Amino acid sequence: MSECLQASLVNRLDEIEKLAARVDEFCRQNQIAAKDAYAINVSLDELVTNVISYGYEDKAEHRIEIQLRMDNGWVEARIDDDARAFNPMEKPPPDLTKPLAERPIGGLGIHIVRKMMDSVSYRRQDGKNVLVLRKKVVANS
Amino acid sequence: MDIQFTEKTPFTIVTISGRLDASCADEAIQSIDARIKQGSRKLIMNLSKLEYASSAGLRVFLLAAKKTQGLNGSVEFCGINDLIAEIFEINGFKDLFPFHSNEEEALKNFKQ
Repeated sequence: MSECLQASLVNRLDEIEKLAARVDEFCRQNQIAAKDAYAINVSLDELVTNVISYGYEDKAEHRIEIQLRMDNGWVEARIDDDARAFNPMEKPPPDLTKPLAERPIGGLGIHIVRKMMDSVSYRRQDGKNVLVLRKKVVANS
Repeated sequence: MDIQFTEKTPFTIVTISGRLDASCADEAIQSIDARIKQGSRKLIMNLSKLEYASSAGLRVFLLAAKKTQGLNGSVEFCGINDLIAEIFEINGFKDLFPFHSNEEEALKNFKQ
């Protein structure tokens, strides 16, 4: 049983599908329910996609480090990146009561993360953004 | 991600399969735009083969809905799985769009 996953991604969007395959495997090995596996995958996807799409001012290759571990019925995921300082949790939630014509196209990703995770913490440390996500998970029966 | 279009006049069935994330959302947006330009107005998004969607997928659907609405058309959904339905739900899509269990139901009960 693998209780820890470490992945080092380059800043390309096609890396996310590869990460998802590894996260699914981690969740299977730890008997995490499909619903929770989806929540973890989509949260990592949203945050990493933001970093790749908006975080870098140069065209260079950058590394984004992902760690996932099980801790007493909780999954803890950590994302470290060297993109510009950005705390996604400071973004105001989107207004989901507006009619279609006025509905914003963006800002939904971070909303998904907030809804799917039990806690999200951000810190800037040694020139890096560090995000730690925690979710209580249900074991597959 | 794979996207297929089937004309069932006056409807266009849009079947999206696989993973719909930020790496392929723009491709989906462009294919759907092209169909709307060719005259498609009433789109049925068949998601029965869709395995995964992130907010990038929601963007695809919102853009298609906004565009068709501006042309007196609309977007409805069928065949969505429970995992993806939760993503739709927490973003208020259940209040914005009709959902049908399958393609036949969508064709029969599409709101004009």
